[in-house]
Amino acid sequence: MTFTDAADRHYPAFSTDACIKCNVCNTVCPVARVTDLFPGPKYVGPQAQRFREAPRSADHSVDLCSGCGFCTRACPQGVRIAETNSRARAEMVEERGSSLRNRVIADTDLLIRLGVPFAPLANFALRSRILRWIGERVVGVHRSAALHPFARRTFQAAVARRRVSDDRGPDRTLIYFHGCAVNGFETSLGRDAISVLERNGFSVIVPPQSCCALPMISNGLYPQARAKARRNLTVLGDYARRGYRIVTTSTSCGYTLKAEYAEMLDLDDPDARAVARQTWDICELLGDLHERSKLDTRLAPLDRELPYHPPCQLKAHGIGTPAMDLFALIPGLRAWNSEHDCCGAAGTYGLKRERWQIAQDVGRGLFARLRERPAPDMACDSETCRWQITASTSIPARHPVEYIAESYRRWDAAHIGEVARAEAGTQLGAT
Amino acid sequence: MPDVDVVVIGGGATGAGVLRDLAMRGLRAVLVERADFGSGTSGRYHGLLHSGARYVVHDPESARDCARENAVIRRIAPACLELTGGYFVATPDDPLDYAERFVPACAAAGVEVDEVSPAALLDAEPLLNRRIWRAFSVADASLEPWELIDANLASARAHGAEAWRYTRLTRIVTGEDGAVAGVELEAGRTGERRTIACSAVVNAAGAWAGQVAALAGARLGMRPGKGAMLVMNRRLTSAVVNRLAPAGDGDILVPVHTVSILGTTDVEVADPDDVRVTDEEVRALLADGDRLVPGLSGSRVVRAYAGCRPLYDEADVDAAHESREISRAHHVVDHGQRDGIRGLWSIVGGKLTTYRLMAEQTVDAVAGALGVAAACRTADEVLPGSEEGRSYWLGERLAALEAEGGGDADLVCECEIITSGQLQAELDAHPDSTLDDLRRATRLGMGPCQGAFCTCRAAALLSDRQGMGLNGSATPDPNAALLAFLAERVRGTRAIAWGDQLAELWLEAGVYRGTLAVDTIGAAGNGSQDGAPSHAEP
Amino acid sequence: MPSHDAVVVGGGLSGLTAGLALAESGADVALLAKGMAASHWVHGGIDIADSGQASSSAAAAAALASLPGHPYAVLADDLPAAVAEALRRLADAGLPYRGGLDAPLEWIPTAIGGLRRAAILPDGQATVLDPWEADEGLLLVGVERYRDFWAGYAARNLAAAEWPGGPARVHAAVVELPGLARLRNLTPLVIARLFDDPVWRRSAWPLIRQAVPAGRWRIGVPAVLGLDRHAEVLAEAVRELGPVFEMPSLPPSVPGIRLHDALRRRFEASGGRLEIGFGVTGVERSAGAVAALETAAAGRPRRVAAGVFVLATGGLAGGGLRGLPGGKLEETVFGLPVSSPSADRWFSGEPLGDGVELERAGIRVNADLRPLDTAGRVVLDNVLVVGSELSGMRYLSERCGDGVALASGHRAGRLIGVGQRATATTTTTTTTRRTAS
Repeated sequence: MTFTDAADRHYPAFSTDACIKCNVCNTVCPVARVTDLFPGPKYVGPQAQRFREAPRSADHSVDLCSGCGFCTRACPQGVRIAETNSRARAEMVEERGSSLRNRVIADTDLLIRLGVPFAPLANFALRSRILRWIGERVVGVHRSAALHPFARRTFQAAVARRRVSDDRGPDRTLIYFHGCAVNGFETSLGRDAISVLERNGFSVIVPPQSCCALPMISNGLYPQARAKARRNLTVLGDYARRGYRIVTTSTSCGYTLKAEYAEMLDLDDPDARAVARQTWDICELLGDLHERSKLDTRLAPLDRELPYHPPCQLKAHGIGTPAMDLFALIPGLRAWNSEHDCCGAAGTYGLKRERWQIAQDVGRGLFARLRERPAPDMACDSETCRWQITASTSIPARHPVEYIAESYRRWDAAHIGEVARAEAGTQLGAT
Repeated sequence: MPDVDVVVIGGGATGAGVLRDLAMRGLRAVLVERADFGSGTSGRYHGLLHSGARYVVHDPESARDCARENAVIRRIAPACLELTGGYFVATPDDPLDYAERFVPACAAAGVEVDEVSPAALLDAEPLLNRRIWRAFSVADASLEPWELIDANLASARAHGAEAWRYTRLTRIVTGEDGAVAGVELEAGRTGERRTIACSAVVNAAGAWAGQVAALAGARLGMRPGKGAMLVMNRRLTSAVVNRLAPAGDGDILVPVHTVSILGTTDVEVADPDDVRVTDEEVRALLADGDRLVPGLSGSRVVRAYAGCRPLYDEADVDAAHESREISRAHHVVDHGQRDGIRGLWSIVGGKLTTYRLMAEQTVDAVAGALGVAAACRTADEVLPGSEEGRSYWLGERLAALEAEGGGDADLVCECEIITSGQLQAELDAHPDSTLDDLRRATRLGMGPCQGAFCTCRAAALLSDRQGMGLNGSATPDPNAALLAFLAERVRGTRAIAWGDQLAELWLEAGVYRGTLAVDTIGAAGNGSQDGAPSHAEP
Repeated sequence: MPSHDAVVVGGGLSGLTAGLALAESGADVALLAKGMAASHWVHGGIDIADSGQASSSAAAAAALASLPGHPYAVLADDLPAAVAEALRRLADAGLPYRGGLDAPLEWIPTAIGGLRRAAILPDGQATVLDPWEADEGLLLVGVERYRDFWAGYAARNLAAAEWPGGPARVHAAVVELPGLARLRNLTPLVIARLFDDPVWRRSAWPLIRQAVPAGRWRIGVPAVLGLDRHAEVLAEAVRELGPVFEMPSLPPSVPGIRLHDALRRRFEASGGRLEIGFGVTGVERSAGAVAALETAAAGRPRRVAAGVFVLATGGLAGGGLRGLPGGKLEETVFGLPVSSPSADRWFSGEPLGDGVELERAGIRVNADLRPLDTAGRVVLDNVLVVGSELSGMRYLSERCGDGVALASGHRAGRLIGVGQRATATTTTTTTTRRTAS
């Protein structure tokens, strides 16, 4: 990293200059609230930062930061606390190395490559208490941690024979970054996402892609993360620079593409800038269509309660809660916001043997609230949060766009024969 | 029979060094300091252990002294050092030919320098100006003055000497023969007066040496040179960085613990207590600082402060010269020869790096006159606290706290990581400490919040000790201590009251006035003594 | 690109008050804040005004209203309704306050043993307003290891203080509460959350009771009596200990957080949208007015349009004003002209005393709260300025910050009313962006 301005507050370590010690960050930290092991964002962030000098780390407690980012957003002075912590962790990992466990759980591409071909066997192992117990002792992944069963076939394999060209241009063509969750675990979400986007008149290209690298970033494995990011930028950058929008169905991947490649990994080239600018969360994109009266709102009623939990990563986007706005368009759907800050999963944080209980304690309030007002299932935009919620409450969790897709499907079923689709494709959505 | 052989006036590095040297040579000595040890120039410099390279071109004698003493201090006082290393760098604004004079002059003065490539420099110090075109590494280090003074005093005490702070010299008593007979002293806190009979007085009052000499009726022309410095909130470089140019404002950046100090201006002042930092000085420092580290002026400045160089007006130095051009080499003035006051010596000039050498030469003169033949051993004997030969590093306090489990429940000062236990220990050792004394001992209140959070905690600690009868009458009144420290901390932010530091000040004002109503606590609520040294900085 | 009737910038007392007034009147209002506000730092009481002599806040505010340029000169009429409304909202939200504009200003003790005057306090602190009986003593109870409540120090100061009508005697005690001995992190929130736990606090009450000497005492404790279940904790504390009151100290302030949370929950329940964590990075102007703001969303700026904007960014502490080298001040969102005493008079007296002229700096407004330039012309037609960002007051010396926040927030809500949604302006717009600072 080269610097041209020591006062550039966008660079996390420099932003700590703005700390006035007011303690606001400490009041919002979900981890410090539940465990005395974590000394809080002010201590590990702007305070400890003044004593850090690579390559010799003085501290270890920063590793308990879950990276939820509440501190950064609460800070009235603009200190990028969570980002400072992430970099401090990366420096620690660079100096002291990383556990095999962390390197494995951070490499989702590898897990999918190993797990999907042997899905029946792997899923049996995930369900086996004895194997999970062994996994906890040997690998360090908590036996009760939320691990989603592998898909029988990757999403990439499923769409391999799709042939979609970009010749309708950037206004009518979207690039779908499905991320690891869809690729290896929740392939039906990918199909729903494509159907909803196509319903709104877009051609959807699914390019070859790697893990966005967030799990590596949050485990401090920056060099590995950079390699993944560069591979993605090569593919996505070309589209983005030509004005194509990239759509994600994971607020985590989306945030990584929008912000973390530059902020954490120091990837600041035209590709990275274009990808950051052109990446849209799917609900953000649909909400934007609606703001501009371009959304196909022929939505059939879903008469039910729907609990919704906005994940931390969504809050980091700074786009409000577009899923709630979309739910309001579905007749009969009574969506309510969990009003709770964090489920505790924080990506791979809650998987770790020594962190699992902390993650459970962080999410406890949310889980209690979801149990108080039972519903058949609930919605959340981020996969690891969904899995954590389901594992902790037994309530199935789905991505918001799956409800939109279902509502569209029901509308279609009720209007068989009407020539809606083709028409919609030309008049709505793509601009 | 005199009470002691020698009275040393001034508790800076030089005075402490003189006391130690006297004691090690078997002389009975006492040091008196009007305020806290190290509260004058020694505690108000940029924290640099000079390699000597700064002076090679204009003052080779100083350069040679520095280079030699640099090695000595590394040997006898490693615990007072952070071995940061240093660079001389040529920015595009620096003269093209200076290096051509610099390199041979270094060789001539015995100052070791190594040329490093600008690329290697930027790799080590990524914030430096990318247009730096030439760089040399030197043996600079970061020197903690209060530790050094404390270690010297501890050594002196171990050899039988005494050192009294908050003790003001009111008169140097001379006999009918014109020889020094004793000193009259006044305890600053109690006003108690006493007279000490002695055979000799060493005036090590630095920039105040003229005032001290006057108390014996001697005229000593001092030309105090005020140097202003800015404290940057974080370390901008990990090594000392000097401009490869003749000395000027804002030409040095020294990493000192958690901060970087940008120094220094040079303004001759009439009164060495006049150490206000002007807006012009701040502007000049920042403008030059930007040449070393682009963006420095937009980074957070937590404080501005100044110290006074103890420069001596030699008759042979043209008075029209800027004071930076006056030799910084030190001078031992024998007032017996010069003014007919036998037994009085003044040591003036010099710099912190050469404090020991100055002490040695002074004591050589004094001991000779008193008929003591013992040789100086201060360069050979390691100072207390440095026995392990280890220097400190930036993360030391955090690492120690983390080793204890981390967390800040027991911290009084979060910015600088100071526990209540550390303050209690300091107060056990020095029950008369004000909060500003605790600051010099521990760095209390020297971080970004400048006392906003630690001042009331520390004042409560003083009050509780008093409530428990731990200190007797020596403890300063907690309220006076609180108000004085707040005022002193806040005053140091005046000249740099913008941006985050102004926001910090506003947060502090909101808490102390809005929530705590600090303006209503009586300054004498818990006692009757003055909590502040009378010369607290303006 | 969301579009609202009104956008409030700033989430402190003034911003939430303006936002609530708008939301409750049915407007579509969004509140944007770059972070949490100063409410997390302050004592949680509501200071309307205090001259040191006036008998009530109303009288002190009336005196301030006669000063030219003081915000109360414009806001005096709004003050009674604003205070009444705020107290109603807080009571409805389960955080009742005692006192009011006409209640007498009483001397109350602070955590370092200073005395300040107050007339409106949350129930958790309000018991201290009751007159002291002749045989009634004040007992300050500190918590072992909690570093920001100084029972002994405060008690020694209060015992020596001139406290008109104060307690007969002052004592201090420090109690060891369960589970605190080995905590590495001991903020007031940690203790407040412990008090939220009914099981834990059952073990705490006897320990506190043991510290109470014989005789009649009113007990001052750190402001840690519960967070989410404060009312329940407080009621139990009174049952267990007798008259007890919280004494706020250094940030973070639990009473301040309770106040913020109560207003914030009400704002959202009234349909207001709240987005905290993204500063304004750009302003889109159109013919003397503001068309939209850009916020620092991830990836690309987010445009938020509205018919009217309320600036509630909170002065120097809140970040609405920022000092620049050379004694200049800038308004950080719209770049409005700042009215300020000259820099050489900023700190003319004691640095934390009455001499801080800089307190007066802020944005000058007309009766419609529109920002003015030095010539008195309105700078932006659809921007209203509220709270500590206003010029001409000394919110610390005059203890008027909360009152100005409430009255100006209330007035902004009243002035805007419903139906101000902007008709889509298609005139040329210019957007100015700020670099992140």
